[in-house]
Amino acid sequence: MEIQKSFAVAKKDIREVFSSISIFGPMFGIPLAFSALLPIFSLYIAINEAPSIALAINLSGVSQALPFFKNIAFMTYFSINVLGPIFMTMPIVTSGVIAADSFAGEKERRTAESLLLSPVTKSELLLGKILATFIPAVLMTFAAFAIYGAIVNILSYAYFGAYILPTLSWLTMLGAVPLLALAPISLVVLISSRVKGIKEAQQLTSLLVLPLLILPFSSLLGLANLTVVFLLELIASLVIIDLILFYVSVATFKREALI
Amino acid sequence: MGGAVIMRNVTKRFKSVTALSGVSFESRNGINILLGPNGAGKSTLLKCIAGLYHIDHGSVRVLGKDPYYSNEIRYKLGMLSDNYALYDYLSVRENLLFFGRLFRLTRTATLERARRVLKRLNALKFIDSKVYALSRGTKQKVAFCRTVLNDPDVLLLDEPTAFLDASSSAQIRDFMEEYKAHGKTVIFVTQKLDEVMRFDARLSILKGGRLVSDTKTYSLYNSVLRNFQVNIRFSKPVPALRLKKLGITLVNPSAEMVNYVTVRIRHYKDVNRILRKFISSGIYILSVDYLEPLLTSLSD
Repeated sequence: MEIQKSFAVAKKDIREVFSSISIFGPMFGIPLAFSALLPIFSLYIAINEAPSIALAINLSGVSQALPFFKNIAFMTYFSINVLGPIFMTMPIVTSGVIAADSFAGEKERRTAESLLLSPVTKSELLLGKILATFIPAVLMTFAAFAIYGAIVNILSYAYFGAYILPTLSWLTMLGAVPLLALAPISLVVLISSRVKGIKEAQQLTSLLVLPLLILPFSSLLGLANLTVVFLLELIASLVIIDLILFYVSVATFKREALI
Repeated sequence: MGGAVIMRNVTKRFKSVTALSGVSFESRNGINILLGPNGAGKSTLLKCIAGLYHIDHGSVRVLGKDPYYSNEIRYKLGMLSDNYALYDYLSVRENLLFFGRLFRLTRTATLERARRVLKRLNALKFIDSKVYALSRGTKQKVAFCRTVLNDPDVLLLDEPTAFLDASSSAQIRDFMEEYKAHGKTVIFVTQKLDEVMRFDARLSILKGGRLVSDTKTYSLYNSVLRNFQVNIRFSKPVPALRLKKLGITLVNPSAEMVNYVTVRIRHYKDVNRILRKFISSGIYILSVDYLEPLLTSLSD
């Protein structure tokens, strides 16, 4: 396997995406805007609603906190256990458009033929297509984490006189981002290689987004506690899932299906 | 030694449609032309040779290897298909550099080859233009340039001059002749008889998914084409009555003066006989062109 060929395919795809602001603008602009707005929203809730929420839902570390510390405890909980999972999944959701377009777009625009006539193996091609979505998605996620982390700290220092981030579990979440992104992206790229066109690929991609929302919602409702141990287990499981998905993608990929 | 491309009893189906039915073909060094009407299976045959399609029956070997499974063979193959398959939002340079990288070519080697080919095709000035902004003809030139970037040993061309002007078409034909001179194999698909007659080459005729004839281009009119039409254009309008006296049937019988006549002939030698008739009656001939639609009657 010649990895530079995969990078060439990825670079070509990324270049195509970034050739038009109308394609990449909403895809990256909306998550980045949310990364600035959501921390402000969470501060508002922490100041005004934290005690009542802590009474209604048993949130780890918040419900048990003394009344004076309930606001900062809520801000800490919300910043890590709610915003963290949201930002872990949000960029993957938005970059699904690139993944869905990967093979289906080549097929629809009838460019797959020249690609298949080139000396690129199935694994090089698939890896290239996965990297084309993975690289921008992960870089954007890191950017979103950096923006929301900075804003959380600025706000918490201004209102509570303390910095909240980074914590170990927050950093572990950041470490899990590439692996969490890889599984759905691989799956969408595989779907994209097997459908007739972009619309069909996007339709199926939107169904895949639903399971991804389990993480932020279960954390928001206090059903899952995103401890370091839990996140490390998640990382280990994702490594296995990612490898299996890539193997299955290569094994089931049919060149002829792209023409 | 066998030809670079050997097909044995190849059948290719698309659901209920049989595109190729038991085709056996062995290329020779130099130019091999595949002629046939629309839907004859010409493009499918090229795609089977290029390894784009998995065949249902038979075998295909290119330089001794199965092109569907061999990645290595693609370094020695080049194919220009009926769609240009270029990336619209990239420039010509970016497109060519991308494919160059896939063929393990350095940036310098890719650009050097690209400039040489594009210059000959008078398209070098478009190297930094986005593909979507190019005309159909220029896209075809760029696609041809991409096809020969790797200097393939086997060159497959599907209607390579379809949208080109006369000068660029001549350049493409020169490229093919150069490949022939270097002992390489060119398989060239067309449905234009005019194009075929510009080569002294092996000619295979495909019809209804079967190879119906294997001949030479210059024997086409003698052995294959029968009962076809020619347009004879006059240097100035000729009275219709005069033509009727010569036994010519006119397309528009009510016309008083005509610029040209369409004559059905049975054999190419009939053209001389008819022309002699016109010349002896004092009519000057400007041009003689055969008409293309006779492709459907090939080898019937």
